[in-house]
Amino acid sequence: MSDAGETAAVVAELRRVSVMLGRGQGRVMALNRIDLQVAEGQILAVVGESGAGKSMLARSFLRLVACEGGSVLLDGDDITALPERRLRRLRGRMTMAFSDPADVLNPRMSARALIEEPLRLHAPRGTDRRAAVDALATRLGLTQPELALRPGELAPGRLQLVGLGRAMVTRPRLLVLDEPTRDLDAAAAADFLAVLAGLREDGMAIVVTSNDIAAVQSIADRIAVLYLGEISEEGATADLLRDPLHPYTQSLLSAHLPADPSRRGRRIRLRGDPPQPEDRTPGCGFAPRCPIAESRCRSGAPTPNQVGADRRVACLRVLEGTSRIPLSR
Amino acid sequence: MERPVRALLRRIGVGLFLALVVVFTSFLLVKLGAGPTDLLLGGPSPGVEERAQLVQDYGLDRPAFVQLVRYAIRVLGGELGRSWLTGESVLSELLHRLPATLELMLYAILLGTLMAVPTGMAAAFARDTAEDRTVRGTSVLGEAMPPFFLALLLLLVFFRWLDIAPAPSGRISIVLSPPPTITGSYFIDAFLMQDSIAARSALAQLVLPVFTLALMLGASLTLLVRGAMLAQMDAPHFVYARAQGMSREMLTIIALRGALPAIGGGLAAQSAALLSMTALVEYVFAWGGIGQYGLEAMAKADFAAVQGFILASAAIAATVHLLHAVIRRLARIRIRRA
Ligand code: SF4
Repeated sequence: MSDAGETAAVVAELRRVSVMLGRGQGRVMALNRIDLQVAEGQILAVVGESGAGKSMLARSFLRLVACEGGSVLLDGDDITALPERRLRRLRGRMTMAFSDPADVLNPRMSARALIEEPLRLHAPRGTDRRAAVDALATRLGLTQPELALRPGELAPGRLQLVGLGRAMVTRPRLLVLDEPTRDLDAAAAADFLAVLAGLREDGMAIVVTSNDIAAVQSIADRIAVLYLGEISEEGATADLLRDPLHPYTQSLLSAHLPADPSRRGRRIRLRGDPPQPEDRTPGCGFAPRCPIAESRCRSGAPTPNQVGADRRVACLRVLEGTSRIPLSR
Repeated sequence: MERPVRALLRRIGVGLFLALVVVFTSFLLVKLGAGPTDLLLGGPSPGVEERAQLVQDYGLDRPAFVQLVRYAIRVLGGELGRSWLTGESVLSELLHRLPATLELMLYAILLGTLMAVPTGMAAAFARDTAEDRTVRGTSVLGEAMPPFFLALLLLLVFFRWLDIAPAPSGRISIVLSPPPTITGSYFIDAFLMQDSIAARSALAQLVLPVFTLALMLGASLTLLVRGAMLAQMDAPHFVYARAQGMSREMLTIIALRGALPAIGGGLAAQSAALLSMTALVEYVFAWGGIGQYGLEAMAKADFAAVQGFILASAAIAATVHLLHAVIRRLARIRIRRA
């Protein structure tokens, strides 16, 4: 990946990370040997349906879930085995915002107090917290009157910015946003993502998850497509959008084709519902819904293959170059 | 204040209804099960006059339904009859023994909670580690152990082998006389009378039975606390707090606050059911509370006494649930005010 002209340092990395959920008979694999990294000043979008493991992946970066195998790195340091006590000190350097701030923010605190709180935990003594919050609010477009409001008095989009401010105020190296636009309407989501795109220049590494590839493609530098806890395809955004190689990526993108009559008929309809980890069948996880599945797909599971210089695709047919779904369908 | 009061009244009403059900059931059991009712009430060989008196008192020559109504009215009026074994009024015997049992239960609940809450919390924080597995294994074992077995085990170790616990000879050393009754708790009464020797002896007698019960109660409560905490730890606001890097203490408070209703409910249910265990433990330690009284009455088919014991245990359970309801309501009002 480094030979693609990127020189920015890798901030966070997952190496063959697996996560199991539940116990006993109900134990399922939520993430299966994920390899992923995100560099300084880079926005990585993780795209997948609900149940694909986006939240677990987001939490894995911050070591908020226990990994079954593999390792998690922050600035080159292995933090996989660090005890919670040691991790706590890193929590100002790697932060997270959730999709539903109303659920997690104290409803009795003002926006200002909420944004300021992490500084109490992580900033050195003598920090001018008020000034830090003011400066950050300006960047995020939060007004002074808004800072005086409580979560219940703010519109969802504005509240999500408060959540973002809270996650950013400690100037983290890694910022993880788990479906930040899930509960926002289209306009508020666009506003939020525009703010997010502007943060790239801070040099943070940003991971944002979404179930909507169209929403994040405008701001992401790289996109990773997640299906049933495995990465189907990963690559630089422009590259991946121009020529999606995994059948699942192709179907996701075709669902968002512009209303252009000349391109009609290319919409790929997937059969069945988004699967949950407990429905996982042997072979390729996507096989039950893949329009071009072959019999071998149900026995052998594809692993992510390097395609070209900067792309990974987990499809058995990609090596023969036959993974593109034919147009005539 | 209006609505809580009405809700409490309703609970008391439900309690009374349940008492009626208990009375009815125990009556039915006797009618269906054992021999002639007058025999049960009068012991193995009541005299002719005595028998006639019983038939008269309880209307035993009347139809079963009339008997039931009469019986229910008597019971609700506090008239529990006489034990043929002692010739005493069952009600006064129960009241006399109640403090001994309540003392045992109360200390056991306190100690059990004190042991279970921190242990369950620690296990939850250490989820799936060796520490957690040890706690879980021990708790399951403790839950499955019969109370009298644990009691005998503790006696064997601390009385027979180590010889640091007193003999299981009741609530105070047999060479001492019990303190005058103030609260009914020998320890507290002796303490109030500034009789340090009696107080120390009463306390020493309490240790093993209280521990037995506390361990039994604590075992299942630990699992309950652990489960309730784990449920909280998966909630988004907790994961968020963790992601913020909050201290273990702050995280504990957050999780505990959410888990408290579940823990309180479980504790209430277990406390209400504690009497059956207490009875067995009382028996082993010759404690002389209502549990031992009930067990002995059962063994001797002392019907009036058994009925009294059943009603008393129902009353204790109902009181515990009522207390729990009151506390929950108060807590909710407080939270709303805050
Ligand atoms: S491996 Fe087979 S089933 Fe899986 S995506 Fe490729 S073609 Fe479809």
